[in-house]
Amino acid sequence: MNDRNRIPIIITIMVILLIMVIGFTSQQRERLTPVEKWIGDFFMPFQRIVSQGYYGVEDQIRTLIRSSEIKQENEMLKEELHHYQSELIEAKLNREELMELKNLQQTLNSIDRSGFSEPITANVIANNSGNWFQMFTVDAGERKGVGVNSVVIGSGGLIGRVYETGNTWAKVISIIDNSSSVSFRVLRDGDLQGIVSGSVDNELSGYLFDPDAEIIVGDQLITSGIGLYPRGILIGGITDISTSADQLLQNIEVEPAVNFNRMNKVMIINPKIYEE
Amino acid sequence: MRRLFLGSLFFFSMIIESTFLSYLPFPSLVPNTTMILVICFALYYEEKNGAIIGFTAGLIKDMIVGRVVGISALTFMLIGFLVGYYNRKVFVENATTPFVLTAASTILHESIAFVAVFLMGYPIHVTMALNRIYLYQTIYNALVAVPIYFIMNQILHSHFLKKSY
Repeated sequence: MNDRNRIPIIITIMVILLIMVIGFTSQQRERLTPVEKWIGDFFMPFQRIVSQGYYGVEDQIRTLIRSSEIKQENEMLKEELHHYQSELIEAKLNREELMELKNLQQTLNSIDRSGFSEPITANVIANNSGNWFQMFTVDAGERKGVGVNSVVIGSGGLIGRVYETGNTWAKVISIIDNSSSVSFRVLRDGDLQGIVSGSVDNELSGYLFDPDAEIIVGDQLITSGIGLYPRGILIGGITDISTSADQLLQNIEVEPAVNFNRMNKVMIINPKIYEE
Repeated sequence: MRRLFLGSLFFFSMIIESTFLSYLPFPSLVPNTTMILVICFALYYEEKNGAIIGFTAGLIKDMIVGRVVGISALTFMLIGFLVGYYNRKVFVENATTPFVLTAASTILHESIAFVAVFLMGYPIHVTMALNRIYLYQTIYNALVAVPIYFIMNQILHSHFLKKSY
């Protein structure tokens, strides 16, 4: 048997082996193999350099093109800042009250409920969004304390969760990915709850549990705290409402608060510390 | 020297594909440069090496950008093998070669991914998939493939690589 005739047989065996590998890796894994971690660690610094370079250059160009707009934006931001400062004072007062209550609770139960862990900041270093999945890579991994299912938040709101981690990097699934679903409540009225999911065409849509719930276009949605994501993270605003044919569900289309095409810095919260 | 150079081409392609090219303003439509390189190499090296190169490149790509390990390894290996086989049997060298081969390879690649994703139980909008993936992605890849093919052709047939083998 000569070499050329053997190739199709080897290819067939490899195809079967690879189909098995696909089967094994199709579900989320708690731990990656060392080889996957090494390869990721090796690529990470290069991806970071290229990404940071790209963002840097893009920012410069943007600034040049939009200098007049930026001036206007500056004025607007200043006004907003005044507004937020007054709100901050109010919030601080509320927080003091809360702290007092927490202290009371601790003395009563002696359980530590410190809430959020210190958030980990990270840069987006690669966008892995192929045609099927919406994922990206960040430059913080197990060494910085990022774990599987850590929650990722961007400047505007909820981004997603960590899917797998290497030593110095982590892959994140966006909430617009088709395997993602988030339980939400309407910010205006916390009793109105439902679920939004991503889809292959990168749109966020969902439904409310209550078919008679009174919602309007423009209502803001926040995470409800049921499931993986902690309560109170902004998801986005409702852009369209429709009732399903059987009148049993109110379907909504949601515009995410985060622009998934332009993410640079993200924050990661570890749910393991959050839970207890 | 030769292997190092060719390996670094793939390395460079994968970095660019996952960073720079995916930030360009075609959201979630990224030219599959690594697959195009596999095709170029398979056209030069025939099916055995084409399959080996495709398998290796696909496996590494799966690990750095993919969610499921094995899909690119499987499809790139098949692409490397089939393109290499095509090259040995019926080779015509002109601009339509990379265009047609890349278009066909993209359809094969996305179809296998489609089946895998479907079997994993993810919801799929079929019309959307047909439109965006089979139409836009195929044309985008095929257009990008033509210049890459001619550059790679120059490099692979150049004196500098031949001598140092």
